[in-house]
Amino acid sequence: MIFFDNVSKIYSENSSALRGVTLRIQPQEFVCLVGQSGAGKSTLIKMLLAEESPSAGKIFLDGMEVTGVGAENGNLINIRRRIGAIFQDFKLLKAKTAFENIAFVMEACGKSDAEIYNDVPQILDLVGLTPKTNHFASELSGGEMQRVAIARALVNRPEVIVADEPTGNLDPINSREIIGLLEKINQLGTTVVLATHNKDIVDALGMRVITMEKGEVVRDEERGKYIL
Amino acid sequence: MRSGVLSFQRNSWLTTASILVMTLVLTLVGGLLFLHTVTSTVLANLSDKIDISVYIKPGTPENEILKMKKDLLTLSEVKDVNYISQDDALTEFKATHQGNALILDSLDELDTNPLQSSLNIKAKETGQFEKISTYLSEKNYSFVDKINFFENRAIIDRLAAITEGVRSGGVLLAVFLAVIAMIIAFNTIRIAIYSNREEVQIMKLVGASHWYIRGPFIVEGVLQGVVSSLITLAVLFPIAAFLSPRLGNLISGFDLLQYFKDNVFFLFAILLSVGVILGITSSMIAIRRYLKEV
Repeated sequence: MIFFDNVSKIYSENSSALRGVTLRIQPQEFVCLVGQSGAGKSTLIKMLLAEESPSAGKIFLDGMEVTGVGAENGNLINIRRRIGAIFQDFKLLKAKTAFENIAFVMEACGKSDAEIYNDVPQILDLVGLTPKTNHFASELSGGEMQRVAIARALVNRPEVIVADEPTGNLDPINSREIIGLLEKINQLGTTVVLATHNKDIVDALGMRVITMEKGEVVRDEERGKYIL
Repeated sequence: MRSGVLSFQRNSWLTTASILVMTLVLTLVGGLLFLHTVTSTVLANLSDKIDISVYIKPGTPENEILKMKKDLLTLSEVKDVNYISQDDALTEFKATHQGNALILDSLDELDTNPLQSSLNIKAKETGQFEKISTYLSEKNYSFVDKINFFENRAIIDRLAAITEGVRSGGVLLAVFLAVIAMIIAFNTIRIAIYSNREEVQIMKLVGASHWYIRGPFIVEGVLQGVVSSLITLAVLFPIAAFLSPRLGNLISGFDLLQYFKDNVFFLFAILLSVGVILGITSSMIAIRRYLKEV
């Protein structure tokens, strides 16, 4: 379970990204985080990935405190291996092929070559990219790059997938396909946290919707709609 | 290892730039080694030409002179003592003035050999002549006529000072140039890693350990060091071949090309060590900054 306990992020007296956010996300849930730009969605996700630390409050992932883990701390590596992250700008290694972009994450987690050569083709098949296995990231389209990013986030079988505006750079057809993939991943038992301001996607999903405004949670509905 | 090799092959521009700068550094290191050899040979030749000549009074029994030679050889500062008898001195004098009939005829006119026997003393270091001459003064040998160190003292002192100056100046210059070159090489590698900072950030986001992130950069640094040292060796060979005959004219008996051939493995070992250490150290320091960030 993910637990944000009264979390705030204050940069200065006049500038704060989060204010007293408390929320719980249960295992295997699909949660949409919605809100306008600057509402605090990305800050929330960065905090869950321990990229930023809160000014006040605590964050837990299955009882393990995420707050305050430093770069030298082994817990940081542990947390990031348990969460698969997907970003709007894909964050792929341009000089690596689709296969290598996925394989290096397994390699980094100490998986054997046998496991890598068994799992990577399967995951590429799952995201529909088998024909592009040996294409460099720079040779792929936006939709294809995002699918590689999803495959990379998924390959180590994380408990949680966080996706920060994964369709922000994609056309509607590719967007629908990417969201379809996330639904499929969720149905297989992975918790999905999707930050987006795409109304069509949120309304079509019909999942839990947490609405944020000016750093605060203003609405949290079980089967919600995009209302701003 | 695999990632490092792939990155080495694929980042061709950055790899080429880093290798070029590192090759320049290593060529400088190789050049300094050459310079050291040349100056050492010149100084050794020069030092070899300096000696103290002790002139012996005529009629001194040879066993006394040989005993003095034996005493001198016990001194730690003395490299060699050469005894030149009156007859040897005369033969040498005649050989030197072979074409001068006037001098040779004048010699024939004399009934006795006018030349003195002498002991030529060579020191291990040019700065040690002072100690040897002090020893001779303290011993106060009655059969010693004169010691030419005191006559040549100014020249010997000057040569000793020049010798020391060239040595310490050479070392200082070498250290100075090496430091500048290493700073340039270090910054080139830093720029190369800076361009890969996004890659480091992505690796950290997916939970890669610090050693996993460092690994490819270290392998790249090692490969750059190996390739650079091989290129440097290939660059130094024609330089040595070009300079060798020219230096041979200036310094008798010195063959730079032969020195290069005789010491090629030693040179490669030094270049390889410097290249690999430089590559690894620069990579480790440069990447440390990005690893510190969360």
